[in-house]
Amino acid sequence: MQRYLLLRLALFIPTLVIASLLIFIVMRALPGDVVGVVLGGAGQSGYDPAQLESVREELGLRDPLVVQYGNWVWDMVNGNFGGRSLEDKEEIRTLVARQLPVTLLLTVYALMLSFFVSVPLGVVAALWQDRWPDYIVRFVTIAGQAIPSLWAALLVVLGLLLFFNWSPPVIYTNPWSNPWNHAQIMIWPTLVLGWGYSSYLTRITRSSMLEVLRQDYIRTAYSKGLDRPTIVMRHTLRNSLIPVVSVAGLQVGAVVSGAIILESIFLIPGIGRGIVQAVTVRDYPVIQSLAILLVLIMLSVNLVIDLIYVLLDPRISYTT
Amino acid sequence: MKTASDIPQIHGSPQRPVLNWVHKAWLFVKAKPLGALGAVILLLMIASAVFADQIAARDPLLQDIPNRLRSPGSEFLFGTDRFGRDMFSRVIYGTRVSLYVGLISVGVSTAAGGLIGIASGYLGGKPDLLMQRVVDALMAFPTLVMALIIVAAFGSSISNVIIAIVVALTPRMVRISRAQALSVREELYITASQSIGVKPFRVMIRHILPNSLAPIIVLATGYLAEAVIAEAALSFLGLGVPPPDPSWGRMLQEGAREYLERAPWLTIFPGIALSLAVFGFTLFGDALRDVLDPRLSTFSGK
Repeated sequence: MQRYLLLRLALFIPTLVIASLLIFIVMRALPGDVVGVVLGGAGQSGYDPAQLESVREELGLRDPLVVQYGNWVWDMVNGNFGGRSLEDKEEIRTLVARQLPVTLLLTVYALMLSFFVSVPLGVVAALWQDRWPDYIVRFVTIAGQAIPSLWAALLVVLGLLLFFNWSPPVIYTNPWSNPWNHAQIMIWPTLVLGWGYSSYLTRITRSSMLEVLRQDYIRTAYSKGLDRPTIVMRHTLRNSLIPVVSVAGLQVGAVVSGAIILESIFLIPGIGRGIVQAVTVRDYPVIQSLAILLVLIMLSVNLVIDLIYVLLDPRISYTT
Repeated sequence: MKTASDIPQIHGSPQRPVLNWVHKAWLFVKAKPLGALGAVILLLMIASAVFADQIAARDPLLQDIPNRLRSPGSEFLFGTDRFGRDMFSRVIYGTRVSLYVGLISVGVSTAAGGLIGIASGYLGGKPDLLMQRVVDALMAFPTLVMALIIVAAFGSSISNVIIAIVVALTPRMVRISRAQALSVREELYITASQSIGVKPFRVMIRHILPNSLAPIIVLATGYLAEAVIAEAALSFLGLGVPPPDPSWGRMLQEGAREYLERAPWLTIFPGIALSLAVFGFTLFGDALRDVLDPRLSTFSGK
C-alpha cells in the first residue's frame, strides 16, 4: 500500500509538468503578435518599432522559449502566478487570491453534496429495486445525466424569476463576511452541479449494490440470522463502495467544466469565469496561469479520490 | 419472414434461423426499449439535419424586424428572436451544426485514438511509456479548459471547435484501446500468428483491431453526447461557432443574456433540442454497450 501511495504521488509531478508544457506550447502558437494585443487592438500596423521592441523586452518575449518556460514555472512555484494581466495590469497573484477560493468552494460544495446524497439514494434504489423508490431515483438520475448543466442552470434562473420573482444576488461575498448572501448565490450552482455528478454516482452505487446483494456471503449472512440493517451497513455497503470510488474520478472533469459554465451564468467571480473573460480578450498570461490551476484542481481531486480508494480496499496494489 | 422450417437442414441438427435486419431490429426494440427510443431520437436528428431545407419553412437567417420577439403560435411555432428570425427553423438548422461537429470530432478522435492506442499497447516499450504519460497529462485537462486554451490560441471557428473536442477526446480513446490491445495481445491466436511469422503491422490490423472494436464503438457513442455538450458550451460562452450559423449553444446565450424573462421561448426550445440529443445518444450508447460488450454493463444500471 505504501508503495502504491508513493508511486501515485510520484506520477503527479510528471503529469503536471507535461500539462504545463502543453499549455505553454499552445499559447505560444498564437497567430498574430501578442504585442499587438498589449498595445490595444490585435493585428494593427503602424506602431513605432522601438515601442514594439520595448514591449517585447518587458514581457520577456525575446528570451529563448526554454527561458520563457522556465520563468513561468518559477513564477508559478514562488506564488507570483506569471506576472500581470495584459488587460488591466492587475497582478495575477491578487487575481488568483481573489478568484481561486470561490471556485474551490463551489467545487467542494458540489462534490460533498454529491457524495452525501448519492450513496443513500443508490442504496435505497437497490434495496427497493423495481418498486416506486427505485423508479423515482432512476427517473431523477437519468434526467440529471441527460440535461446538460448549462440548460439546467438557465431553467433554474428562469423558474426562480417566473415563479418567485426572485434572482440570486449579483454581488458575490465571502462566506465569512456575509454568509447569508454567500449561501443565496452559491446554492443554485451547487445544486445544478451536484445534480449531474450525483446522478452518475447514484447509478453506479445502485448497480454495484445490486451486484453485491446477490453474493453468496450476503445469503450466508441472512441465513445465520443477521437483521437487514446490519447486513446492509456491515457487509454490503462497504464492498459496493469500492467500484463507486474507483470510477468517481472519471467525471471530475465534467464537474470542473460545469463550474466554468455555471460561474458565467450565475455571475460568480471564480477562475472559471476569469479564464473565459481572459480568453475573450486573449489575455495570455492570465489564461495559462488559470488553466494550469484548473488542471491542478482536477488532479488534486483525483488524488484524494484515489487515496480514499486505497483506504477502502486494502487489496489494491499499483501495476503499470 | 423466414422461419426455422424454411432453412435447409444440415446434418439433421436444428439450425439457427437466418435473421433478416427487420427481425434483428425488432429483437433490439423488444430487448432494449430505451435503447430503441434513443435510436429513434438519433434518426429524427439525422433526418432533420439532412432535410432541414424541407422541414424548416423559413430561412433561419432571414431577419424580419416587424415580427421580432413574437411568442410561439401557429405562425411561428417556436416564436421569433430579437431580429425576427424564426426559432423553429433555427433549432432545426442547429441540428446540422451539432451533428456535424459531434460526428466529425468523434470520428476523428476514434480513428486516431484507436490506432495510436492499439499500436502503443501492442508494441509496448519506451514509446508506450512516453505515450502513457502524455495521455495522463492530456486527461488532466477538463474538456472545457482544453477547448478554451485552443480557442484562445487559434480563434473561434467551427473547425477550431472540432480540433478542441478532438484533442480532449483522443487521449481517452487511446487509453481504452490500449487496454484492449494489452488483453487481446495475450490471446492464443495472436501467439499463433506471430509464430508463423506474420508482421506486427498485419497482426494489429487483422487481429488486434477487429477484436478490440466493440468497447471502442461503445465509447464513441457515449462521446457523441459529450462532443455535442462541449460545442454547445463553447458557443454559449461566445467562443464556439461564430454567428450567424445557428448553433443551439449560441441561441441559448442570445436568449438568456437579455430576454430570459421577456422571451423565455428563446431559451427553452434550443435547450429542449440539446437535452433531447444528449438523452438520445446516452440511451442508445447504454443499449449498444449491453449488446456489444456485456462485460462493461456492470455499471449500466439494469
